[in-house]
Amino acid sequence: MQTLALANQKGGCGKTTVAINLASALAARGERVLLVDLDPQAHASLGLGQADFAGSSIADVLSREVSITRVARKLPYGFQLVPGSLRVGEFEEEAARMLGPERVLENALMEVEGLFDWVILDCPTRADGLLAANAIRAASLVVLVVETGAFALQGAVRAQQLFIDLARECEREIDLCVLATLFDPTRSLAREILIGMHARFGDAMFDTVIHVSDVAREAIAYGMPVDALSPSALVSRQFAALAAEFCELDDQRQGEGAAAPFSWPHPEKV
Amino acid sequence: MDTLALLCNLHADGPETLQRLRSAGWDTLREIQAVDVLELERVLDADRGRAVRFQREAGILRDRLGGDHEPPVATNERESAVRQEASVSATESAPPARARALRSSADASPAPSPESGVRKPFAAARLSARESLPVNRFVTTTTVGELEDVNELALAHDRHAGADSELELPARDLLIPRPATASTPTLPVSPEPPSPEWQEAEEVRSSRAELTEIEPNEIEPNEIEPNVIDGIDSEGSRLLAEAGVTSLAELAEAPALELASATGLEYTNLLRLQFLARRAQSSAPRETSPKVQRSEHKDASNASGDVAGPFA
Repeated sequence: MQTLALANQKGGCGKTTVAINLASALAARGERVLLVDLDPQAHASLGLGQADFAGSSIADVLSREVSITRVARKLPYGFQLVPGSLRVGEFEEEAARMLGPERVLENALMEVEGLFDWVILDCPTRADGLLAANAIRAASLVVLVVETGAFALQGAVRAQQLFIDLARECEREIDLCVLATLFDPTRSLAREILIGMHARFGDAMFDTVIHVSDVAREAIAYGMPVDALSPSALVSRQFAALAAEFCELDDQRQGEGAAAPFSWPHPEKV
Repeated sequence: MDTLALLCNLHADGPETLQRLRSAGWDTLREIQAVDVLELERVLDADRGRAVRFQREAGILRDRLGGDHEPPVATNERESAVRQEASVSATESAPPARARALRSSADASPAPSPESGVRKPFAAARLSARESLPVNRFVTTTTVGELEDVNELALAHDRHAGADSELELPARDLLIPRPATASTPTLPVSPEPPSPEWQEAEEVRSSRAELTEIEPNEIEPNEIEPNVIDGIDSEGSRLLAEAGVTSLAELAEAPALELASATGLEYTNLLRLQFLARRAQSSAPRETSPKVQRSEHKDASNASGDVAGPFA
């Protein structure tokens, strides 16, 4: 089971859109996928039409009241969702009374080991909190979602440093890949930023770049993945290609003994 | 992401074109450049124009990245490579638009004079306007290792900003405009006689200089004139001069990242100053209306290929 943490401390860079559509694209390939909405704003749940905040949510899992298998909901798109909740924001306060609060999610996900091929964590915007620490600790791969807009490079480099610090605090080694999103090929600035990202991150970047897309925005508004709304849209094909890259990466990691495409130095060596 | 994937994302639809190219056995930009256009046309399932343009963009991207597998080269290396390429390919007919701009600018750039006695670390960075885009400079003039220092740059800026607040900048230099001098030949010099307000301000300035026993001409000729563009005060001018940037042309063409590191100026502020410097250099005659200027600029940008990729 691979656990992906889609993260960036910058909001609006497409984390939730990628989480929803990547989950759907992986499911379309026959993979067993669990999407966990860790965002206190619960945008992934909203984007999948699961705005029922009265039911159990990830907040209950984090407070150790419910098993994650009881919270996961089957969706008509071939994958399951652990919905988010506004109460997730209270986790930081509750954590003061917990032992090992940064390991709650990791322990919870152990229950679904073997049930899913992929667990996708849609991380909150705040990257220095306990939720992010839980995600980093639980993740086998951190996917840094970077918008190809102004200050993207600086933001990405700072995010990288932030995750290095988080990894150091978590006392574990983590792997990082970079996904460029919201790319508008008609804008020269976006093209230049993509070239800059390529120069900076190189092989750690996915070959697939997610373009800015009205269809993707509409799909979120309709509460469904984009490949359910418009399978032939360019962005749907891009998410399919991204899912293929993840599967290829997984095969590669398993074949090479978890060789990561881009490994951060061990925190002790940082 | 390899360079071929980058090309496909920049100038095509991304994964599908990439898959087509890889299925055809092409994995590098060099191979795309070398392939026959008819074959490329067939593989891409595109018309001749698109195939030609895609091939041309592959060459341009390869030039910018310094080869398929090479890291971005430093400015001096890059310029020498461009010079060499320009001399080799001087007989070629109709080179690609952006590459032509690079070559022509490289040919037109004078060699830095060692006799000047002024340190000019960025004088060799004679890049075209296209190349002098912020991120272009980020890519072409720095190595990956240098890019690691972005955070340090930000910290340096923070320290510098903190120091600025404690400095007492000479206010008269900020408030009183000065006419352009010979050291700033790129700026349009107004032929009109000085206005009464200007004369009055000049009198006040000279009287204050006498009172405070400050040299009236404390700005050395080898500095950018303060306030010649918005955001460059005397302190900024001094910092730039210390880094070897003594004219707007040099400011416009200097690699921003290195310049920010050398001067302590904020990187983003420096990008803005470079934009203003380029605009000041390329400013059209005053009789041309702004509306016409905008339309000309739009036409020029379209002519230089600044449009969507062929398969986007």
